Amino acid sequence: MSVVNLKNPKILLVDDFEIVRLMLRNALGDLGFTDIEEAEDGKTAMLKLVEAHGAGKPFALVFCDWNMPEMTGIEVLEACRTTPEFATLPIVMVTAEAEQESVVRAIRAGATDYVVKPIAPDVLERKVNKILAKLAGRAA
Amino acid sequence: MSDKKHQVLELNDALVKEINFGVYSTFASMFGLKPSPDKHFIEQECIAKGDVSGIVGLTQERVEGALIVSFPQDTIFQILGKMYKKQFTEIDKSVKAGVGELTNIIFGVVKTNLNKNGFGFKMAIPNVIIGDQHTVAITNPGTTLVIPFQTESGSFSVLLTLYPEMVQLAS
Repeated sequence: MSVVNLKNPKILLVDDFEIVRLMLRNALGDLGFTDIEEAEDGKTAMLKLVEAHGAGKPFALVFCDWNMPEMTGIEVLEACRTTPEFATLPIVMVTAEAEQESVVRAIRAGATDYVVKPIAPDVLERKVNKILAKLAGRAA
Repeated sequence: MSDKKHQVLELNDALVKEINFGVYSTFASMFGLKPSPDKHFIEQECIAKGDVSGIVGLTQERVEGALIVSFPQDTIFQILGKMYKKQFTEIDKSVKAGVGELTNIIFGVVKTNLNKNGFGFKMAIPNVIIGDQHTVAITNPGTTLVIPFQTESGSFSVLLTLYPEMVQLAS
């Protein structure tokens, strides 16, 4: 049985823009989270998720860009939600769009939460802590 | 088929405020920088005076204009250099992608806030143009709002140009 380290959870950042992955890495680093891997597209993200799960070191949290070529964020979300191992994996969608329609679409597709770029540090901290608290509740 | 008419954009103080907010919140969150705007002004042509610019179309029912974020090389090298912890010496793939994404995020903020007030702007993908003093190729240049910004890493400009049919200057 794999164990999630809630103090420094394993996080996957999925975005085709290096600068966004870097921004998120820095912001999460400021919050003390350093066990971070990156994927520059949806397909690589799915491969990393499967590999980590198979190795008994699964990701505890995913930040996934909405707009990506080839495999969009929604498609990554849907692929995860239809795969038993990742059905309850916390996935936070990252987007530059704050319109209600997009938020609703993401939540309906199974997103755990939603952050809008530019991501304010206090918003990120609040959302991550909320997810970790829920994971702690599950683990208890 | 929807017959909804959206609000027409005016080059006025309210728009300047939205752009200033979009720029400030983006730079503060991404780089910890606090860009301060200089006095904005209106130009008849649309010439981005930087070395690298992100350009995104403003579209309601049709393409109405463009938002441009234009950087001198030194400024964007300093800004991205701090983030990447390296010294940039040329406008490479990372610089181009960085400018594109910055433009995307600024536009996202501006668009969201304008749309709350009845504008129906659609999301668009930015293009990046490289080259000294590039003129944005518009057949009939409209009126262009220019806002220069200053940061501790250098200056840059944001331009918003509207096609002639859409122009309404603040009285």
